[in-house]
Amino acid sequence: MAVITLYYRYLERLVGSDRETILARLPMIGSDIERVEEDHVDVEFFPSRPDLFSVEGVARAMRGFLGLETGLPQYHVTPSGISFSVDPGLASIRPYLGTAVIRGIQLDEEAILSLMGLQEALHWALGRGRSKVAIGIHDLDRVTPPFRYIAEERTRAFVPLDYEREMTMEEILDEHPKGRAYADIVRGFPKFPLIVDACNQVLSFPPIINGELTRVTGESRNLLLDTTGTDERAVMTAVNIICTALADAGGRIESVDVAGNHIPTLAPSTRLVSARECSALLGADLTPAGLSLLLGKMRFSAEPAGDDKVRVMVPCYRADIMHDWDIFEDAAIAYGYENFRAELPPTFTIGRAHPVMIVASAVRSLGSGLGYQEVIPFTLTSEKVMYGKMQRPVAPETLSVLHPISEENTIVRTGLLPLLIETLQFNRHRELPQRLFAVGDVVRGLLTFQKAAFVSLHPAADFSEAYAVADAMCRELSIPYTSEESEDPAFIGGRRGSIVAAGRPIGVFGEIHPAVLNAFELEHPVAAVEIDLTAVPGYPAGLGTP
Amino acid sequence: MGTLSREQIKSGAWKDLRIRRYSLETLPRKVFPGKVHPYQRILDEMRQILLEMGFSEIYGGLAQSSFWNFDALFQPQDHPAREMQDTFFLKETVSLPAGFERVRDMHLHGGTTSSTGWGGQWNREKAEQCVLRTHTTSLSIQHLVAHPEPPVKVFCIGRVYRRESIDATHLAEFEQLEGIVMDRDVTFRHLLGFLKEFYGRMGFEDVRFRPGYFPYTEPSVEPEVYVDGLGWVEMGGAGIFREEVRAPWGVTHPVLAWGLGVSRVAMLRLGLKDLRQLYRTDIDFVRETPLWHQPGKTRGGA
Repeated sequence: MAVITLYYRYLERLVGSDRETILARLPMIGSDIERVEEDHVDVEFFPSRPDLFSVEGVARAMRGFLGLETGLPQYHVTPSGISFSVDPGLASIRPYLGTAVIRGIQLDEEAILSLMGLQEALHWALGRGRSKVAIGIHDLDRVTPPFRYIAEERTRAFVPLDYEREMTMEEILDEHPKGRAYADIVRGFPKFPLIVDACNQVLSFPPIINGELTRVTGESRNLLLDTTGTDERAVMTAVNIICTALADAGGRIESVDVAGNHIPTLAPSTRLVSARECSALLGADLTPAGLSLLLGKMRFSAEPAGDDKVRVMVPCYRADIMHDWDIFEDAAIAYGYENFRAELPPTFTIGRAHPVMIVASAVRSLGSGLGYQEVIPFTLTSEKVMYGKMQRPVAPETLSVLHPISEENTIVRTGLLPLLIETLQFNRHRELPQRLFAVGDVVRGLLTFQKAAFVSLHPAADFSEAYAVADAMCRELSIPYTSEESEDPAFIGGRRGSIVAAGRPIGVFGEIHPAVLNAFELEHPVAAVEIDLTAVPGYPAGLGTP
Repeated sequence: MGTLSREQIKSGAWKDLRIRRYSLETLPRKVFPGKVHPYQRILDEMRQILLEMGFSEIYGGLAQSSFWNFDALFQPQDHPAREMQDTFFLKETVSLPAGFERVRDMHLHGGTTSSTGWGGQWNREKAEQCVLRTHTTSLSIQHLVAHPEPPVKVFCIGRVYRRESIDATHLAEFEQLEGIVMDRDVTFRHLLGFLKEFYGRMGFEDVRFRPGYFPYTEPSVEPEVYVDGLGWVEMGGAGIFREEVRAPWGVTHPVLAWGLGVSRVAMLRLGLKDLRQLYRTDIDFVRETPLWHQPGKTRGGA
């Protein structure tokens, strides 16, 4: 999530309202206030609204939302006369270039911080960690147009930001902190992207690092923006968001000639939406005129076009308007979520519990009736707990996660019994007897199904207790069964049984092997039962596979 | 004498016996009844509420294809949640269902709707890779695909997974409660009405709604409930399925969808400070948490 720092002084100046009013209404436009501080507030905005990742963008939206200035913000773009070429060799590396010239800007400390924050947040939300879009902002007066975006040899050297000596691009990837952080994006390419000026001076090695030469300071008055990436729409949206923010900060936006196209245009796009469709979605009675008014507060310009349609001009910085309903959501926000009259859905249906859950409930009633306490273990566990400590071989259909977070969470459980015994271990200082049960999901390969297990730990726990519980379970769950000698190494030989129903082994019971007790640091005998609940008559077939 | 014998009771000999008096000063031995886990009792209470409201329960696998977990819910293939830092991926793959092309087209250009889609690329192999489900919405969408005609009212309580380091407030797995209502003429107001009713029945009287964001709903809403001592607490997310989600499957009526992190309710109810306590059970916690919980009471507290 993008957390944006808003300094009150700058925010109040841009919005034209006081901080109390702004903070009171800010959450209702779609944000979470994280921290309120003396001179600033940290606010989290949704990834769908990268245009709100700057003080300027927030101020623009709040002016509309508070009714101080509604409708489409106007942005004028004049040609800069500067051109920027794109090397065809970049087609398979990082093909798209967006750019703009910003003149007459005067950035104080808070505006520079806002701009840097915006850049970082855009790298995250739009840029997917710079792989999809990367942004560079330069002091235009330090370099000479026209500019060229080229595919360059990896041995080309320049002075990267925050360094004093020249480094080759390869060295930057190995040594510069930004190089190491983003090396994976370019490492595989034979040549690297580079932006140079007419005198072959380096502005930037996108998406890694700018050159020191064009560093932006409080003294910078004229800026050059570059956005490069692999997705044209995202590259252009980034240009629009930065240019509109800098225009709001007092800059004049000029376009750059890229292969005959003047970038940016900052022109709105148009959508023709239906007031009836919007009303039906929201449950509100909106006329085209009423809908237009609401959208004006969200900085669209909207006007009725006939008795149902509304022509909506969508500002160029809105990355999230993909569908008419995205506009309707803005209408709902302008209407105010607190103003909707909540009403129960009229839908009449008869509820039904799922058969698998009904079986689980029966197991719970049986378990508590037998005097057992239910526990709810994690489903992620390790081969060590599931098999190693149980003296059991690893089941061939064990489901492993590819990038586990720790050694304790490498596989999904295939049974509940080891986890119940582990729970006994957590509780070894608690009063005896301890009788625990669990019912829940286990997997075999990609199949999910339910098992139930019971353990009883006390000085007199033995085979006959386990046998009695296994028998009670099968009787109460209407599973006709026979028992056979089991070979399960988790149990003591001669004190273990396999539960067989309809010719298939569906469970095991007996007295846990002392070596297993040792592995789990237990000091008393444990009687245990585990059963596969798919053996319960009526357990639905064909469930639980992706 | 102490305990009466069967013979003494049958023969009437008890009439002549001096029966020893026992003292109430001797406190009773503490017996612990077998019990359903306190957390499960809260889950059952929620199930009960939803069943009473006419919802049917659905159930499904922990492992899901990326297709049902993400693509069918219009999560773009380059969405951060789909990176290996956030989601437990599995090496297993499954083949895509019939009609997957319509979902692909939705991502690429919005199919036959007013949507622009996400643009860019859509990779079939990426959709085939399995994950541990990150939400049970993967089950709701599959239910909807199998039942495209109204009305549909279903819910699910199940384990979901996030690739998070485990601490007092974060777990790699936890329960999610979620459900959908699909019907003719249901609206955003009905969604808010359902949420208010459900939270009210769970004992949260004050509910408010703020705009939210989820890739598969539009509009989206974040419900908050007021808890004494804590203030407004976020209680999950809800919204109306985007047309991009339902259109590929011929679902033509609105789908109200909501999800709730139930562990948060459980923490408030049980007065726990550490989420791990729900799953790494201390037997004394189960023994000492009373079975009966006065309805409409949450413990709150800092």
